[in-house]
Amino acid sequence: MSKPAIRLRGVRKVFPGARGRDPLVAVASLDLDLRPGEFFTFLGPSGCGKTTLLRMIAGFEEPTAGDIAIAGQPMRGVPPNRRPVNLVFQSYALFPHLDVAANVGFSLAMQGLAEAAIADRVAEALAMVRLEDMEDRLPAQLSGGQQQRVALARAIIGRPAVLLLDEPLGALDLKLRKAMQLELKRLQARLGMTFVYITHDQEEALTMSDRVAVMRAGVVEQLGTPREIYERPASRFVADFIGESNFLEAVVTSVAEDHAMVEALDGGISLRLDPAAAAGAATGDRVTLTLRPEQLDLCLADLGYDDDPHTADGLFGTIEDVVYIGTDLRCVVRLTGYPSPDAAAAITRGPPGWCACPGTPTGPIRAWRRARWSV
Amino acid sequence: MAAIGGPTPSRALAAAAPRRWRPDAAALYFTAFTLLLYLPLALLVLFSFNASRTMAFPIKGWTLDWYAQAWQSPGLRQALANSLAVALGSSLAATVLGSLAAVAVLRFRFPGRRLLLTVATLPLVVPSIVLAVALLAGATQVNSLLAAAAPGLESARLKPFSLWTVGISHVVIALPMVILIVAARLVGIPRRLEEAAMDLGCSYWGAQRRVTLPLARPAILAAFLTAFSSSFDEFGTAFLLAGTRQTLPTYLYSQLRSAYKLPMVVAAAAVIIVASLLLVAATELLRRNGETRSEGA
Repeated sequence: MSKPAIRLRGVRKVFPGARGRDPLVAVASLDLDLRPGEFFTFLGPSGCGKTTLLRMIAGFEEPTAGDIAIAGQPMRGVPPNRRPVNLVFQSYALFPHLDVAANVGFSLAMQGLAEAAIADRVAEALAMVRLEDMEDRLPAQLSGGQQQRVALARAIIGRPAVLLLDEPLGALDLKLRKAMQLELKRLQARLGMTFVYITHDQEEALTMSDRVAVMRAGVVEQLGTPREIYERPASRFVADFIGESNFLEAVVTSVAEDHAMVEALDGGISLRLDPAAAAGAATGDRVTLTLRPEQLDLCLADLGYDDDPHTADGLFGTIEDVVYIGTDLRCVVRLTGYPSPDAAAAITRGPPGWCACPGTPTGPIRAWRRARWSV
Repeated sequence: MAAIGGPTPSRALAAAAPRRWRPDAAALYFTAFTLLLYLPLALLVLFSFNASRTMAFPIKGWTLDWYAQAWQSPGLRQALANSLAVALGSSLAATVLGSLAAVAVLRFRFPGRRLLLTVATLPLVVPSIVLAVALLAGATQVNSLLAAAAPGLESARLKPFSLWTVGISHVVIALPMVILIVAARLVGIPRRLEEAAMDLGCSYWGAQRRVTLPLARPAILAAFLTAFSSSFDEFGTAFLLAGTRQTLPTYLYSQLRSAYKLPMVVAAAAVIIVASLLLVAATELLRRNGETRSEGA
């Protein structure tokens, strides 16, 4: 068992409150081991503490409490320039007065390498990010995508044990961002380097990561593979933050060997959960059902199923709104009998035929479970 | 006279209507403005070549005698040397102190940060003669302290009336300008550039030297030139504090008392004007150059 690439033990960061305000707990006590060679992502909304955490790993902030070790070396009191990590900044932070070659070769020049050796390594690093023949340009003469590649080359040229990336793709347009996502993943596999990636973009996190830590208010809400956090969100926050979800409050009415029954909509409907979804539930528990849009099918209410809502394994409602989003039609369905009208919408993706005309004679519909309910 | 007494109804209407671009009016305004600023200076330069002791038209003839006379005047040479020494020393000191202060104010958080900025920029609004009096009192106090601390050391005393106190006053006068000029540039240098340098292996001071200093250099140079010219031109404190020594402005002033020396003063003034204009142009060029180079930073 090799040492963890990064080991966080009780890491905590509190910023003193300015002028009578309460101190801000940016990162609450955090324990985490990052494996060597993995692509690890901290995912969370702005203000969740992910950037503070990254800055502590890079050495720009000292933890209020706890210890950080990189490749087995304790990092307390070690300045940024003596840490075996490099950081790709959110807005690249290229040196505007230096050309591409000098930017990329900066860390090698700091180590005092010979000029010829630096030139070779710079060419190699630029080739790795597919940016040849740009050595003499100034950053201002490059496009956003090219600047991004220079920043990447500059950070990997020193072969750090860990590469830190602070939302590096945020400023790129969608197409370029998708291309860079795949390229980053490929680069990471090729270098065998540990990547620690920070983002608020859940799609980015799912696409690239080996493991994802979903953060909220300085705490890791869930740690797992992309598949785990998408399919089995540990909390309502995670389910809400990753992808789209519908939430239904429900009460567990019975638990059996192979399933569990819940009542939702104030007892207006009974639903059957499979054992995986119902694991750990006991009769009388109040639970929240998470329904992913793609897990729901739409069909006409009187089509092939029992209409009695008390026995039917589905939800009833009326289509309120249909939005065309290219790959799907996004349907907003008002559920029949849902106590609070504001939250009555269920979002699903339906076959175009069903959703063509919102609020019209399509009439009551049912949103059917396809995969499973999850709690 | 009634015609220009007030706006007529039609004029009021025209003023209320959306303004149209009137190049002739703008050109007139610009010309008047420029003349007001530069005509006296131009006349001064013109009369410095006049072969007459009186500053009046018509020009009697063209001569370089006054320049020769100015150049050969030992008093003027001494004053020039004094001025250059004071200006160079004070502007160097002000540039170093002011740049560091700008870095401190913009890059660090410490109690009294805003206060420092206010206090440091105060000399901008204090008349230089008031500053001179204050400095005089201060120098006397420092001296009595020094005398008490080291009774035997006469040479360690700060003479209240000397080029040293003039230089110190010029540092005080130039500091706010330096701080403001350098701070304005530092604001445009993102802090993460320093962090990037440190991440890539620089110590804090290494990052300052390799990243911040090169990016701020045009502003620092501009600040130095501004401090230099302000010291070179400064009259109030120099007049009060220089004692028996003289800087160029106080020397020129003293020479004006004898009419026959006027042409020489005019010639010297003309040289100063041209040199100052060149200095200002250089400063501006540097500043702009610095701005365009760091675009996209």
